[in-house]
Amino acid sequence: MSFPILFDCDPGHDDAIALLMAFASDRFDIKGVTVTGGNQTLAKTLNNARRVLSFANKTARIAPGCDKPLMRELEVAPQVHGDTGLDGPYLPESDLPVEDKHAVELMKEVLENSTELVTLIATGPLTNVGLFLTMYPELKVKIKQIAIMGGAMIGGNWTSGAEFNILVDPEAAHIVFNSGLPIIMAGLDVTHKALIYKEDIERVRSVGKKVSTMVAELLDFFAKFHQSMGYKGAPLHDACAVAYLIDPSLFTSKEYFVDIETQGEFTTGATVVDQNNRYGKKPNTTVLLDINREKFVDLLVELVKHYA
Amino acid sequence: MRKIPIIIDCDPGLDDAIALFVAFESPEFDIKAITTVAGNQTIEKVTKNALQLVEVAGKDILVAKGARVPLFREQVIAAYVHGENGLKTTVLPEPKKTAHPDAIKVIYEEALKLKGELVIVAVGPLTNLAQAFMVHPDLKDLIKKIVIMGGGHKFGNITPAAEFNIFADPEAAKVVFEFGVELVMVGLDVTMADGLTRTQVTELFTHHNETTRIIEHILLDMVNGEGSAYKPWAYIHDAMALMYLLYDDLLEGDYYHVDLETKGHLTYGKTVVDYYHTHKKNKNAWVAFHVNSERFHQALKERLSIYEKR
Repeated sequence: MSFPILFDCDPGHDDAIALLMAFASDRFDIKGVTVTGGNQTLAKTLNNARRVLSFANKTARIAPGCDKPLMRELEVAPQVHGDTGLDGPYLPESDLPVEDKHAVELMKEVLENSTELVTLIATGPLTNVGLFLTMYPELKVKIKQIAIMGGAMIGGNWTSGAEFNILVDPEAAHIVFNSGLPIIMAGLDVTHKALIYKEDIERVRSVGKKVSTMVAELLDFFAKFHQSMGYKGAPLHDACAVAYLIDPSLFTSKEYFVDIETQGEFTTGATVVDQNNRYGKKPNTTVLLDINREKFVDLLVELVKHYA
Repeated sequence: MRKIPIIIDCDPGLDDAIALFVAFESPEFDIKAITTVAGNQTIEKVTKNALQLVEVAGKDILVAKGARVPLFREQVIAAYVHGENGLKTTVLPEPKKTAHPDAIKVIYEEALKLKGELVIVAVGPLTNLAQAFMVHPDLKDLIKKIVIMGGGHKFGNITPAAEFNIFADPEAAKVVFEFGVELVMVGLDVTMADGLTRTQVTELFTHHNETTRIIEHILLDMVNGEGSAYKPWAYIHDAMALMYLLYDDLLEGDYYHVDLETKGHLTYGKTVVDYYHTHKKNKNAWVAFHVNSERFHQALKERLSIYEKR
C-alpha cells in the first residue's frame, strides 16, 4: 500500500538519488515535488529536479519555492555539488512543465484535496515547509509527519555546531520543529554512517542501465569530494530520510525533544537534542541514530534496478 | 620523585570534595594552594567548605578566596545538586583558619615562583582564571597546563547543550579557552560515562574512621544526586580531571578546536567541539572522549582507601 507524499528538495547529488529512490518505490504516491534554494540557487535546483525526473522518465507536479531563506541570505554548496548543483553525469535539459504556482500553494492544494494524511519529505533547507506552516497552520491537521534530512544530535558539518540544511535556514527549521507535528530527523548521526563505498558504486553501475549509470556517476562525483575531506565513503544524507519511510527497520532511533538554535555565535542552526530531558518537554522528534548500511545499499541497488 | 606543583581552583561542592581528598594524599602533587570560586554555592560557602576539608584531612594548605560573581552573566549556583551548604547533608567542624583574601594574587605569585612549571586543575567555573589572565597576560608563559572539569561535546547537564561549570561563567571560559595555555578538557563525555554505584561506594572502605565516614557520606549523597534522568551513580566529575594528571591511561582523547558559545539562546555555555574538523582553526584543547573504566575504579579506590590507614 502506498501513502501520499510531498517531496521538498534542493538537488544536489544526494537529493537527486533520494528522489529517484522515492519515485522507484511502490510505497509512495508522490503528489508533488517542491524545490528550494540550498545546495545551489533555486534556478539551478529547480532545473536539476526537472532534468533528473525527465532522464528517469518520471513526471510529477513540480513547483518552485523560495529562492532565499526566510530571514537570511542564501548560502550554497558548490564545493560539494559543483557549479550546476549536480556536476558529474551528463543530464540533458528537461521539458517537464513547472507549475504556475509557488511551492507553498502546491502544498496547500495537495493537502486540501487529500483524503489521507500526507507525509512531507524535506531534504533541503526547510524554507518552503516553514513558510507553508506559518501561512496555512490550519492545514497541519492534514500532515502525518515530516521526514527531514538535517541537523545532528552531535556536531556539525558546515560549522562545528551545525549541519548545512538547518544552518542555511535556522528560522524555518525552528518553525518546523516547533510546529507540533511529528518530525523524523535523519541527521549527521545517522547519515555519516550511511556511507557509500567504491564497491557499492560499482554495484550500482553494474546494473547497466541508463539511470543506474547516471546514479553511479552522481556517486562518483559526490564520493570524490568526500574523499578529499577525509571520509571513507560518501555519506548519502538525503537518501536516509526516504529509506526510513520505505523501511524503518533499517534504522535505530530514539524519541527526543529537539529545538533549533537561531542566535548562537558558533551554534546557529544547531539542532539541540534534549538527550537527558532537561526541559521536561514531550518528544517531538524521532532522531535516527544508526543504520544497517549493507541493507541500505541493497535497497538503493534494488530501487535503481526499477529504472529501464 | 619530582612533584607536580598544582593549584586546585574549585567550588566545593560534593565532587570537588572528593577531588580534594584524592589530591591531599597523592604524593605526586605539591599542592601550592586551593583557590575558590563561586559556583556550586556562593563564595562564602565554598571557601568555608574548602577550609573545612583541608582541616578534616589534617593538611596545612593555603586556601585563597576568589571570584564572588561571574564576569558578565547573572550568578547561578547548583544548590539542586550540592544543597544549601554546598556539601548537601555533610556537616564539618567550623574551620580554625581563615582564607587568604586574594586568589588571583596567589595564582600569579605561585606562577612567577615556579617559572612555567605550575599546573592548574580548575574544576569550577573559570572566573578566577579568566580574571588572572586578564590582569596578568604574562601568565601565558608562566603556566604549564590547565586541566579543567567542564563542558561536554555530546550533551550538557544544566541545559541540553551546556555543562554547569561552563554555563555558570561562559564568558570566563571563552577567555580561558582562547588564552593560549595548553588546555585539557575533561567534560561530561567522560565524567558521565562512568561512576560509582551505591554498592561500590559502600564497599570502598573495609575499615572506617572519621575521615572515611565523611568521604563515604559525601559519595552516598552524590549517588543519584543529579536527577532521575541519569544512572543512579555518584559521578566523580572533578576527581576524574585531577586523576588525569596521575594516570596516563585513564583518559583517551584528541586535540580539537573548541569554541565557547556565549550568544545562543539554547546553547549559551556550550563547548562547541569541532569534532569533524569542519574549519581550520587552531586546536586549542585536548578533549577527553573515553575513560578507561578499570583504571578509573582501581585508581579511585586506591587513592581514597589511603584514608583507612590514618
